[in-house]
Amino acid sequence: MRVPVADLADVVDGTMREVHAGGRALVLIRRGDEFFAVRNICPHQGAPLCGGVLSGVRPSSSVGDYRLERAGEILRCPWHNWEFDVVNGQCLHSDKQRVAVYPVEVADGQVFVTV
Amino acid sequence: MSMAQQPVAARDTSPSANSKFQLVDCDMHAGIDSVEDLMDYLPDSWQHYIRESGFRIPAVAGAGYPKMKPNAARNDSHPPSGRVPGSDYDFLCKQHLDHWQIDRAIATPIYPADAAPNPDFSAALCSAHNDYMIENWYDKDERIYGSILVPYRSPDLAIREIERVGSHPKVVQVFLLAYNGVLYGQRQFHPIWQTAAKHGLALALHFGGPIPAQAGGPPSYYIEYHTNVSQAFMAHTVSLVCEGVFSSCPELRVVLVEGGVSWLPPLLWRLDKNWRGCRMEIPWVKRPPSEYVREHFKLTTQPIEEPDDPRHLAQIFDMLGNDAMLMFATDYPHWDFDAPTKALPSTLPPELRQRIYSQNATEFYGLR
Repeated sequence: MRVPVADLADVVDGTMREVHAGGRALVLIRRGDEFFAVRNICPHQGAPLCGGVLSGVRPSSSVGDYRLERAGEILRCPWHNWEFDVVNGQCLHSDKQRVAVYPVEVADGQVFVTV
Repeated sequence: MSMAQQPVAARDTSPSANSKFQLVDCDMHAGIDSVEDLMDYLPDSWQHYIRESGFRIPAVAGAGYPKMKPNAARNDSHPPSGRVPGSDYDFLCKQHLDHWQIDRAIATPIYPADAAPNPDFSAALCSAHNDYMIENWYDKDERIYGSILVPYRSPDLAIREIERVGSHPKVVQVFLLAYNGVLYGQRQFHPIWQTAAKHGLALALHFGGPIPAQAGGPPSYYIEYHTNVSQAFMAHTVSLVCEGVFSSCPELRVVLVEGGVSWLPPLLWRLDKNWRGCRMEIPWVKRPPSEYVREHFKLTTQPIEEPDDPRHLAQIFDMLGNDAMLMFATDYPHWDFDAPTKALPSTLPPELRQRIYSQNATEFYGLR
């Protein structure tokens, strides 16, 4: 089911917001011209992920290496800092944890999510 | 975890090491009687310094906490020679190694040569002590393997000492006391651990030291000091993982000696949980901290906890996550010694008992 969830003009680059589609609460994330949608419930203890922060990955190769990559593509939970890749929903610290992700399209000034 | 996944350094720690040993003691306090034993191993300049200054010992571990018995030793462990317990080779053999039919023992001398504030004097004392131990203990008896002391607060001098004696075939570990007022994971120490790992040496952290590391403040009584020693081992374990020692030194192996055992599983639960939420602070720790601990750490059993129901101890052992983490130790000649025939609950599975009594240590240290 393809559902319009927001006017394109209202979705600011580098931010996220809660939207609803098919009875589900989702987090809609914009990074440049890319859009992502993930379920708005942390699989850990149920926090609404839309209140968290957008960060990146730190592919540290040695002690003291704090490089940040993929800024804006990692959603960090507002409660316990669990981190999820907004591209595929994968939890960064465990292969066994993930959050559902949904396809997003933009057409005619509208953002659509398929749920 | 299979032993094939254990970090393997230059020393042969593979499971192909023979399993003929029945009993390995991983904490036997063999050592010197006093600084007089070191005189022949010191340069003239330091001999003069000691005689002219009246120096005896750099620090007395827990000096304010009398340890129930003189020298913290079993009353029956004072040799007829008058030397301090653990410093008379013939008596130690008779009372300990021969009596219990111990196949191999890891000597753990606790003369705190590394605590001398003067870095050059500390380095000289460590070298003299290491040479004394090699000549009078490690080279003297095929059963005895040993530790070396290093002036860890001066990493360049510590590295020099490891390079000097670390490849001796009977030297198996760098030995440090847990209560030294520093946490050994911190990065200024990494070059020391890298050098130790290069030589196939483990890092052994042992009960005691001049600066009691007690959470909440210094206690009034020795019973508190002794009971709370695990706090320092917790702190070092967390430090070694979080500071990225196993990123800097992926082959380093660590043994926690005389720190207790039962505290480890819940510590790892807490550490893993906190890692999930605090990973951005230590991004070099790529995997759950418990995985590093299970791969790189061993713990010696003495002083084994003694719950009223021995099944509870077996449950704790199970929570450690594998059968390769524990190594038997007596702590001879100290008063809280664990007797080889009585220390482990008889209800433990025979295979696990054999692992703890000898196999784990044989593999970990590459004993022959």
